[in-house]
Amino acid sequence: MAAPVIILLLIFLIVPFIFAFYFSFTNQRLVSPNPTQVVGLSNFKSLLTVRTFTLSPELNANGQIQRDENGEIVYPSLRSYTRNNPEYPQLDGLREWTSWQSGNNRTFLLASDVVFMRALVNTLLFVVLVAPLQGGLALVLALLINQPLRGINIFRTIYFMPVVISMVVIAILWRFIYDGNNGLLNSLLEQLTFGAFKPVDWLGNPATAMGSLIAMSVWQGVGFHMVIWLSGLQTIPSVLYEAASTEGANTFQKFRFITWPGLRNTAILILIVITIQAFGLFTQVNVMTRGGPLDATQSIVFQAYERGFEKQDIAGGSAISVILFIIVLSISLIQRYLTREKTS
Amino acid sequence: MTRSVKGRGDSVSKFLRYLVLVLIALIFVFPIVFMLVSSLKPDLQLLSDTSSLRAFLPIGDVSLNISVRLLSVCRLDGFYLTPFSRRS
Repeated sequence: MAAPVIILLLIFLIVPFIFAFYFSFTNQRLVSPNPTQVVGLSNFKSLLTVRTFTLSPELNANGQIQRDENGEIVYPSLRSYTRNNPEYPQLDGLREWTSWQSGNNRTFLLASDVVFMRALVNTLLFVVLVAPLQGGLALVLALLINQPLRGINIFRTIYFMPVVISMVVIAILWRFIYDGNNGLLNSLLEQLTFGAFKPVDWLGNPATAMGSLIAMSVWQGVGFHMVIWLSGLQTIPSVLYEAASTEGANTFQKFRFITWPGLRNTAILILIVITIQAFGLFTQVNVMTRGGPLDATQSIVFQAYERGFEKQDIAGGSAISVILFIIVLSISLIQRYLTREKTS
Repeated sequence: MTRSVKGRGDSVSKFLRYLVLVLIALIFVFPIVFMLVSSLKPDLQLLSDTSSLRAFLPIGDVSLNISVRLLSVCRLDGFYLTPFSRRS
């Protein structure tokens, strides 16, 4: 009976995953005249190596700290340590990710793959912001459309509308809205503030690009989770609210002591689903920014795709997929553990 | 007496509830209306209209030309209707 399901899962999920797992330990390329070789952990090493390195200031002949004409401390070139320096083999090939001042010294955070590190940080940031924002807004919307008002189904439909539109279409549409010159958002904000607002190139500015993607993703996805919240709300027996009203409970108390405990399982489901979905951030990035500007919107899945298919480095893309799998699996397990039923 | 006061309060609260619902609905509707209306306009007019409410109104040089052209380019009948047609 279960054969069709098992066969489909094997073909489209399990076998590809085993392939990805195997390829991540080889130097497999999409098209290559050379035979594939097993290279061990070197793909993971070249993705995940991170080191700190501290440079001391350059000293002049008197043993004092050398400063340039602006009074800035002069440091030896980082490149002289990270490029073929036999005294520092562990730094070979690393690049500067970020750096900060510690006293007179300058500490660098070096990474073997800065773009992947940015992708990792961006994706985590996306998840950390989208999960509570989307879940919370969806709950507010669900409470609003759970009111016994005439015509409430119209509002339910409207709030759900973006969910049924393809993300590619939404992304192209919002590229027009976020446009820096003639964008709808800029004109709206300009008119609402009577010209005080200066137009922003939302997707072209590293400071606003990620925020713009987050806002659009929440706008698109919130309707789906609203429906799940709504189904949770409607399982709560109305007798409880009537009893609370007779006891003189106010709206907030009703929410705090009836609605919220009643939604416990729904909340766990929504948290885990949004987290997993948010880790898969790809379509928006691929259509709207291609990881730019200045890697401000790189994401893990976009990196896996870019490496695997555009740079034809299947092994590197597979390694990224395996890393993502491990991250998502561990976070889901932690969430399951933290939200487990406490039986005592 | 108290009853009529309560009735007025109810209708005010009802109005406020609908107001909130409508304001939120606008956030969800405006990009979609913009998309539908823009699909009727030529490129240049689309970009110049965004600076005013005209962006949401199907006015100016409105036509179905783009959709028609798209259908003739994409050969929708060829892609989707082949299983149903008798043509070989």
